[in-house]
Amino acid sequence: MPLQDLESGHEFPAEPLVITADEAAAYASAVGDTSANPIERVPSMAVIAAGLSRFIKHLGLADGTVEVVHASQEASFNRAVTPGEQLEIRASLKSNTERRGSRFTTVEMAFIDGAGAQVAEASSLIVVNAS
Amino acid sequence: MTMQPGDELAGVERTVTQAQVEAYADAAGDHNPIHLDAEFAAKTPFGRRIAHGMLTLAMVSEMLTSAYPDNWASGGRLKVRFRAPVFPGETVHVSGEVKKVTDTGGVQTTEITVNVKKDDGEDVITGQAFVQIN
Repeated sequence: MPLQDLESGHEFPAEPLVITADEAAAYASAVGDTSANPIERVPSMAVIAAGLSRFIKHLGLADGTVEVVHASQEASFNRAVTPGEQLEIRASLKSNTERRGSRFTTVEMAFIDGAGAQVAEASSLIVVNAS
Repeated sequence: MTMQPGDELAGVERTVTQAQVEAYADAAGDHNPIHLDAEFAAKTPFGRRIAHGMLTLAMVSEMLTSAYPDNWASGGRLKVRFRAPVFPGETVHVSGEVKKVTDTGGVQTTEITVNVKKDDGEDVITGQAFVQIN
């Protein structure tokens, strides 16, 4: 469904997320974080980045056909994620409004572990050129 | 020893390269052409390829992880704004300063002002981070 047709409060289907040790290491290497120990735990922001990338794609904003600006980011972490751990992303649109030719979309994501506990959450404000 | 208001965290300084942006795109799964395709990026308001905001934000998280190895990953929170894009080849300076330390019922919360600047002083990221220590 096109982004402009999604209403505030829209909930996306939950989807699984697993970040392997190799993926965590690739992330740490890419961001230049030599202090990370991706064998033992996934870098905190890697979890948020993986989730955000997915929902940017779901919203049809990843292919460059529209101008997208990542305007702000909130994140909180309840515990470290272990490589290979099975998580579930529960995402929704907190807001999705258009003003003066720009669409302001806030995606909220909760990262849930196998026991049903929230390990992290995030809120991302994306501004899309609506013209 | 608990950091006190006015204390500065050990910063991170890094020059962002296009190779790093490409590696990040693969690692994070974000292949938007504004980060990767020079011809495409030339037609955008930025005029050239830009680094992912989340790549730069990862450096903020790295600084906080180094300062609070156990507590950032399990009790950390941040709220930031992306103020300007980072172009490959630019150097960014990540800093943090403790603004406030509060104690509520045995839970200590440290508030940190976080900032990412370019060499010329332009703000890239501004915001606050909070770390809870039980």
